Amino acid sequence: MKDTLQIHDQPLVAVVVPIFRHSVLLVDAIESVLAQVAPFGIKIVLVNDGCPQTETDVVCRHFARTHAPQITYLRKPNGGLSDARNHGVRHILAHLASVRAIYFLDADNGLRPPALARAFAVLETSADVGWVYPNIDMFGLNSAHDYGGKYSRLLHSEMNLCEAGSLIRREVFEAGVMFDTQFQSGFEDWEFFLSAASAGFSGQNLETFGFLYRKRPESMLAESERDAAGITFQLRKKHKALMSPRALISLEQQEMPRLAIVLSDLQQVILTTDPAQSSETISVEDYIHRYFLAKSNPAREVIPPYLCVTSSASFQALTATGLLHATFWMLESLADKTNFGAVTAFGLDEDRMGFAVHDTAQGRHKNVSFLMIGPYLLRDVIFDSASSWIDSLATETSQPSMALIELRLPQSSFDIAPLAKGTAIIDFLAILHRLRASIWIEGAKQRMDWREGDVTRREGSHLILRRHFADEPVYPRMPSGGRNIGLILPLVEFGGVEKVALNFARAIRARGDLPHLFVLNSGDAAISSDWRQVLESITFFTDASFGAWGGGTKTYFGTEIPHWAEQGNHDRAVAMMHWLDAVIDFHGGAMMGAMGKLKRLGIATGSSLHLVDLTAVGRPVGNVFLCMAYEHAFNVVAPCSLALADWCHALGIPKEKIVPTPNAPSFPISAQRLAAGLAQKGQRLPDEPLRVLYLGRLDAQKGLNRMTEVMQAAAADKLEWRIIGRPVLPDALANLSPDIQRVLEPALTRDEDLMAAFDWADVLVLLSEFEGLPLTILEAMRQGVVPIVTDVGAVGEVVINGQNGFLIPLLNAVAECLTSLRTLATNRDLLSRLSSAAARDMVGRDWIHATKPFLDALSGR
Amino acid sequence: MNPDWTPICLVSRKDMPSFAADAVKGYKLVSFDTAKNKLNFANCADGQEELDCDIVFRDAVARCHSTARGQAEQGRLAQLWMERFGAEPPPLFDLNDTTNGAGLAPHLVPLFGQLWRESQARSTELMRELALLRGSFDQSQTAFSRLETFLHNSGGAERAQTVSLRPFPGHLPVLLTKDCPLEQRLPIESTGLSDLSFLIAEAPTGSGTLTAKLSLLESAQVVAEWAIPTENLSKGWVRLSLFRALGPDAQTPILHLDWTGSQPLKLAPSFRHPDIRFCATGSNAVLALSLWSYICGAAAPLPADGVVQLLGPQTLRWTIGPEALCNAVDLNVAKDLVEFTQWRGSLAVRPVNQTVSFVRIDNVGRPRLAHLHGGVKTEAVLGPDVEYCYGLAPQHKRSKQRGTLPKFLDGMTSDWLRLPPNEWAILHLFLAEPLKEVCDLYLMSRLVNDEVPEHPINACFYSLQGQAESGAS
Repeated sequence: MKDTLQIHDQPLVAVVVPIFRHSVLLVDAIESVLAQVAPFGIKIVLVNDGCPQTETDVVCRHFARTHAPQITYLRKPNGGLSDARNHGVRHILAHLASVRAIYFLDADNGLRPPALARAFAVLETSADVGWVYPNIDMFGLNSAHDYGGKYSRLLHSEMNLCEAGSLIRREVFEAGVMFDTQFQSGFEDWEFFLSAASAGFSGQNLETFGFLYRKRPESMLAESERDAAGITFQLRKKHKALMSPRALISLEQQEMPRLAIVLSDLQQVILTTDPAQSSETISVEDYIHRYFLAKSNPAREVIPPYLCVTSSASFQALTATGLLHATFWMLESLADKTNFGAVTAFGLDEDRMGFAVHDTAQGRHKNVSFLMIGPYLLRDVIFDSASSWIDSLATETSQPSMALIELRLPQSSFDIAPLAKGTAIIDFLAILHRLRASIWIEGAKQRMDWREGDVTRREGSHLILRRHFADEPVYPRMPSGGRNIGLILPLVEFGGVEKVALNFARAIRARGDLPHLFVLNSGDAAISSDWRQVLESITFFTDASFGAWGGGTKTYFGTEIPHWAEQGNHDRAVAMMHWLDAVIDFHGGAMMGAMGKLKRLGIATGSSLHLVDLTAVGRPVGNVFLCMAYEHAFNVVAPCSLALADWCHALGIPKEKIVPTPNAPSFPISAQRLAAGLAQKGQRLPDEPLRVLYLGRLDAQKGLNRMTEVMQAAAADKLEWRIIGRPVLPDALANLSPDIQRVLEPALTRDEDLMAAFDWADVLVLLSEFEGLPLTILEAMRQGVVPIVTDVGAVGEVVINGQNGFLIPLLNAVAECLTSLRTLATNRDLLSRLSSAAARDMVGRDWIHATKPFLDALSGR
Repeated sequence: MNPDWTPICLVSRKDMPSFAADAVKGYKLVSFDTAKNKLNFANCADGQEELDCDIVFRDAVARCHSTARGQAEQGRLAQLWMERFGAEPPPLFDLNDTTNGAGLAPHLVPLFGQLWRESQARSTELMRELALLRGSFDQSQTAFSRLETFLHNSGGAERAQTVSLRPFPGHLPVLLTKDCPLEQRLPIESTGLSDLSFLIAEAPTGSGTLTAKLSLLESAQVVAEWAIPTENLSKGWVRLSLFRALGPDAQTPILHLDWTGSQPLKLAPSFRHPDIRFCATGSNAVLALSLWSYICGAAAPLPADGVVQLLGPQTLRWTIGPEALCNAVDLNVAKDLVEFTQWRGSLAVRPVNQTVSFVRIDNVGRPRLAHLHGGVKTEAVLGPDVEYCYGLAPQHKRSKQRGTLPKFLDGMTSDWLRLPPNEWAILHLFLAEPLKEVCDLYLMSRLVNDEVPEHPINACFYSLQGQAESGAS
């Protein structure tokens, strides 16, 4: 007895027994601890939580008096289970320096004799384990539940993995983790362990723990099951950081990646969520073993649900396009809806990028370079006794359905062949037959564990993150080093807004941040090499129901609220962009409806505004008004001119939210090139015809009718005209006047061509109905081209009448334009003076400076 | 257990009685003060050694004061006590300015008396509850025992096969070598587990002993052991039987095998399993296994082919049930004389004339068997009388010729029991001496006279029960 007393003087483990109303069953619990077989002392701390039953006090006192010093009796006013446990912990921390781990035993539960020794041995041998948790063998209502398998914070965010009856390292409590007394109706243990996980600790299941749980039909936990929804809501609110999508995708990557990417030529399998990263790379043989291990006990073991077969060359080729993540996101969506998702590619002569999704791949499937299959079909074809159905994949008349992603890429810039001519079908069938012939397949069909696997969510772990986005597939990208900033455009062609966005991207890159492009309304875009040089990734928003405008039944001060803004699948959009640090909307129309959700995820949101559209009768409408409607969803608004900034403020956007980002020339030009051009312009002879340039889109907004009038009226003047551009709609060409058509040249896309055009020109004519601040004017002025422009929008912020150009009123634009042209044609000194002033006024006007305040505001600086 | 507990009486430090320093036997005087609204306790006898609040709470049985100031302090204590412990403090006594220990005793004695009476009442209550539980336990045990007997006598006492993991031909055997014990987790919970068998792929050579243990993973308990020498091992299934099926406390059963022979013992594998927890030690395969269960905690007659666990009860019962009957060896020259009927659970041994028709059931006559009995019946409404007989003969007396019975020793056959058709009877074989070695059982039937029956006669043998001692439980 003396040895027993001595061993308990320096206990290594303390058992806290909180007691309220279990005055008789308490004896069984205490006895089960006294019966522990362990090579170290165990202290029992009975905490009477103000139980009104005298018997509880009597039992506790008697045990404490007769088993001193092994049993300590603490009594306290009633405060609930969490408070009672904390009381016991505080006593231990204050008085028992030798205790290295604490166990919580509810007064109606029990332990098998080897339990604490076994659990303590795990803590001793695994320094990275913060607590050891048991399986739950229930008596009373008999059942047995397996909580085995690797500990996962991802799973723990979704379900209560760990029983309170766990052995917890002292350091957890010393780190300040205690039971939250606000959680009184149950789930205290879940909250406690989430706090421990947040503090950097992790758990480990011990199969042989030997914990016995008394289960009755009506118990506190049964009561709390009824309140589960409310309690879970409180939990998620408190542990927002752990349960945020950013945290969850990192956990998914680390613990339960959703993709198994087979590089068939290397016989390697990459286990990952983010295809640009790798959680783990294993051999095909290891993958096969793990696959069947997971199928033999899905509650304990996990395998990525999606299998994608490709080759290393195809994988590298896809990575080079910048479409890697977008493609895998699309594949995952398709594999959910059909039997297979697949990828092929098509080479374009033009410098454009895009994709198309074909619901059936018939005839084109045999050369696909990527093939993805979902979890349920894979399982079915592996365990199916016959293989003829799946083997038909390799034939012309493939029976399994397959949706095909066809990537369209400029063949001058990318190696198309590995994407266009792959062997993914054959490689997949090879892997499949290896799986079917595996030595493990028979064993995987057998149920060997007698306990019920309770961690059923392990098999569908990729659905945990989806839950935050209404079960939409989540873009498989990890928040990585550096700030990731998304640029949202409805389409990418050659418009001014796109050019501004490209320059934003350049400025973002120059700051060391990472720009990502999201194209909303089209599967095909003019994403040229200029874009590709600066972008980190490109994604096409694959929601066929998305429309930037249209279908709306409500208006906001006369501007339609598009249907998708109100009722579209915002979750899919948010699932696409959840991983970004910031997004900038460039007149994305209906996408503004999803901005609020992005903002609530902690993503900084900005709106880049360019011009107020006018209806046919001249009423202001458009993206600026839509931005007003969704103003609360944006952190920062970036009007492209001071006038637009004032206008936004006048309409109600707080001043601190408005960061004007004045436009600048859309392409860079070297000082030498600029000087050479200006010098060349200075050598023009006075009797040469005045060179007049129009450069831009050919649509009604641009005042083409006025320009035609001017051209007709000046037919006899010594003027040389060049009109460069194209209409948005190709068939609108025929509607252009013969005067324009006679001198019309195709649109210019290359910077060198634009520079050459501005070098040629003396004057830029732009008689628009409405504008923002056209980039063409700034580019022209930079190269000394004198602007003759209507005074609309913010044009007046850069063109000062008579000083660096002619700013003419819209009402009398034709006459004033004619006068200006004739003046310059006959007064070359004036032309030269205005040209120099125009060039001088553009010095220092660049995107790095222009965007800095906005980008600083977006990053919270 | 610590017998050194001493009750405490609390007195205010401001009200310390003069006898405070006296060592008063039977209780401890502890002083307190409430400065700064905190409770502080000190042992009066030990020069004011500070005491833990929770220890004081545990041991305090009374309080006392001898002055008005002391009484006020006790009021303060009561308040702080309630705040700290959520309970009323012990009862308070007024010492009326007493200056010696005798002033306290008159208060403590009735208090201790009261406590003693309460303790006695509780003890009596607990003893009564124990008695009730004992009665309830005795009743349960008796009822359970009667249930066992009923099942034994009504033929419901056969262990049921619950798991069968077949051997996979072509897979390499699992080797059990000397000094390298093997463990195999069984794929069921332990409740009701009564038998388990594994398959020896090749008869062992040389000498050695196979030791088997059955343990429970969660409690680390060994619940049964067996030892089988080489001479009792041959190629085929080895069935290990427990006297009593395991109880209702569900745990994970583990089979441990140890071999002392110099040559490895080859065990047949079943399927390969990806989870090494379920594979035999050192292998990626699960052993070929069969498992049987019975009512939790109940004793069913042992199977005739089971190896009995060590250290079991001295009385033995065996059952030779449908499983054994359906594996009977047909040794008749003529065909179609033997048929097992699953739904009836009987083996028909059809006599054609006065010549004996017979079958042999191998190795079911266990050593120590003294009495065999079982049901017989001719399953027909009309027909000739049939005679039934049991016989036992050692393995070495097996005839190599079909149609030839071994020479039975005296006392190793039952009498011929004559039965008209459709009449049930119990056939008995009482052995003069219990068997010393394993024997084969012969089930024999013949017609009483030589009339050739119009239809085949289903002379049916039903399950048999064997006992080690005549009239054993």
